[in-house]
Amino acid sequence: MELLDHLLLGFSVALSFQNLFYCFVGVLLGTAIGVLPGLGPLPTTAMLLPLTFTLEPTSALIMLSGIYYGAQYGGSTTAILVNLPGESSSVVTCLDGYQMARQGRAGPALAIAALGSFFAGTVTTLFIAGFAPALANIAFMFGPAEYFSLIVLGLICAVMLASGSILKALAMVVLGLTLGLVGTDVNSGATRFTFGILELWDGLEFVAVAMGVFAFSEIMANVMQKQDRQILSGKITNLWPSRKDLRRAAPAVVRGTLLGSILGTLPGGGAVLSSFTSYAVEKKLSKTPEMFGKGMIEGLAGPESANNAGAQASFIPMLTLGIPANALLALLIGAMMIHDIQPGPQVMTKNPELFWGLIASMWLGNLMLVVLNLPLVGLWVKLLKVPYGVMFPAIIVFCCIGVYSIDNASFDILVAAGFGMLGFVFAKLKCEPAPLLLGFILGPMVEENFRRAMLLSHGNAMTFLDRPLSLALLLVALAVTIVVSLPHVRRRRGEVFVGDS
Amino acid sequence: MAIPNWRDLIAGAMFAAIGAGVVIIALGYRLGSAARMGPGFFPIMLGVLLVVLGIAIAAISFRSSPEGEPAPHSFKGMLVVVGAVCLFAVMLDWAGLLLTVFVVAAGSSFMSPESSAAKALATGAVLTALCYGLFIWALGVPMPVFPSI
Repeated sequence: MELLDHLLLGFSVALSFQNLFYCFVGVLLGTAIGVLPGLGPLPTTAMLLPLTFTLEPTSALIMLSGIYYGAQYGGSTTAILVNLPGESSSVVTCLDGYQMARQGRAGPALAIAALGSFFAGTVTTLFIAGFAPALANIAFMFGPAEYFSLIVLGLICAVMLASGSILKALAMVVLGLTLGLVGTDVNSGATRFTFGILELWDGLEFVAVAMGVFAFSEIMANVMQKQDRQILSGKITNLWPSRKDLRRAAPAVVRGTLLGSILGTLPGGGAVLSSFTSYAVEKKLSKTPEMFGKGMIEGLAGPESANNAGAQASFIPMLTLGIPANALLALLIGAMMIHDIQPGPQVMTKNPELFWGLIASMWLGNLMLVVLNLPLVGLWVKLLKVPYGVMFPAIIVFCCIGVYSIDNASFDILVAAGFGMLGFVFAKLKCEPAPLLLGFILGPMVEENFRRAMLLSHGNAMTFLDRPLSLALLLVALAVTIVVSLPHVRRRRGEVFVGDS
Repeated sequence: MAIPNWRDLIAGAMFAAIGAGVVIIALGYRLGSAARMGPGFFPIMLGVLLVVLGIAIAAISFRSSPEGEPAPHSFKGMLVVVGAVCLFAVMLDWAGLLLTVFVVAAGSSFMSPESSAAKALATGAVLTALCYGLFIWALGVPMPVFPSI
């Protein structure tokens, strides 16, 4: 069976010493920053991106992806022990996980979270392996009009499913698209929006933008505050959950995995959406919904599995269509482009070792995480005690070095500073930065496909509606817009979503 | 509502202003035709869209109330971070990595509320050593290490 062949290829790539090493580094780092509140996988990926340039593209992607799903594991540890969500997707874990810890059941909580996540990771890896080739086959039927409509769909979903004001998020996307146009226009050679600055002829450096608007902005939020963390230390004995726990958690894990796999594949979906939805579903299905928030194990097992499944499933549209579902995956796309790999359906045929190697390493990464997390809990707790006054200068310095190392240009560091200032303004105005980054990375793609589609249709804009696939995609985008704008849905959205990064 | 949602009002005005600026600048680029779009075509479309969205956001702000809590970002925090990063950018090429990291790390650490001069200097020293070990020795990133006088 072809699937077995692909998986064998994948494992042969992933099990090389080098790739195992980078996978380990990635998940270890991911767990560490997942544990630390205030530093998320997005700014970390931005920080490490320049340093992966010297690596093999497969190794680079393995490490960076490891950071992404590793952070989901780490985030749950802090959520359970300290009631502080290390990641936005761990917010839901705080609700019941921390309560379980307060009842002296921190061990089982951590174990269920880890095991549930591992189950989800395994199933989703198989899901990706089975589903992705089929999706890529469809993608070969895509022309520029379809790509344009797909990107539009992706951006609209990302906006609609994110938190906060929809209109402002839309405006941020459009602003991002515009910023993506800064530099030399490939088609005509004209320089746009460069204001005579030579360094801008190649456009704004996206790592600089990402760091400014995420990492630096995050520091600004935390630096002047008093750090106040009560850590539920004291021995975490009795790590293993009881049979009753396992029996109750198992169906929740399966449900969470299913939910995460599906929601993660949608453009705009991912870990956060999956975990929140899973919590809502578990609460609805439970016979004792009023007990949720007081230490219900289903409220922990479901979302934990869902966020891991969602994080991995969100790789599908990225790997098969070249469309990133969220800002972090957009950075990974950037990494691929820098290594001269054109993201899209042809990645599977032209770079099969990359594609299948990455998928296989995701499963290996999950395995490493289960083995790592449970014994190393004590270490992670110690990490939380590092004072912020030491942490944030480190982040600043690492970011600056990272940005500089891309082009040996101090100008890029200044760009990051500028976007740090903008990040401050956006935060104060409650404008979400993630849609901006998404638009920024996709801007050139949108314009190029739009141009080509119009060229092929001799200037006829109806081509986007005449071609059936393109029309279908645009209709879905419209449907999503309408559904999310309905007042009933709008209210529920407000109470479920907290933030996205 | 008599009191508009200030955040949204300012945000809307900001988007509209940026959009208008984009359109004005893009009008200076060659437009081309729909079939053969010049460099100005798409930016103008985006600029117009931005203006429309900005006006919509500003208009709706008169009827909505501020959402959620104010962002915890402090102005002083912004100055510290942006200042530190700009200092880094300016210093790196002539002062080299070691001196730059030390000054920026110690300086910014000193600015945090729970810090002291001793802690700041220690942080600076540790980070300098760490950066040297990681970026220069282990990863071999090409960058100026020592001051070039």
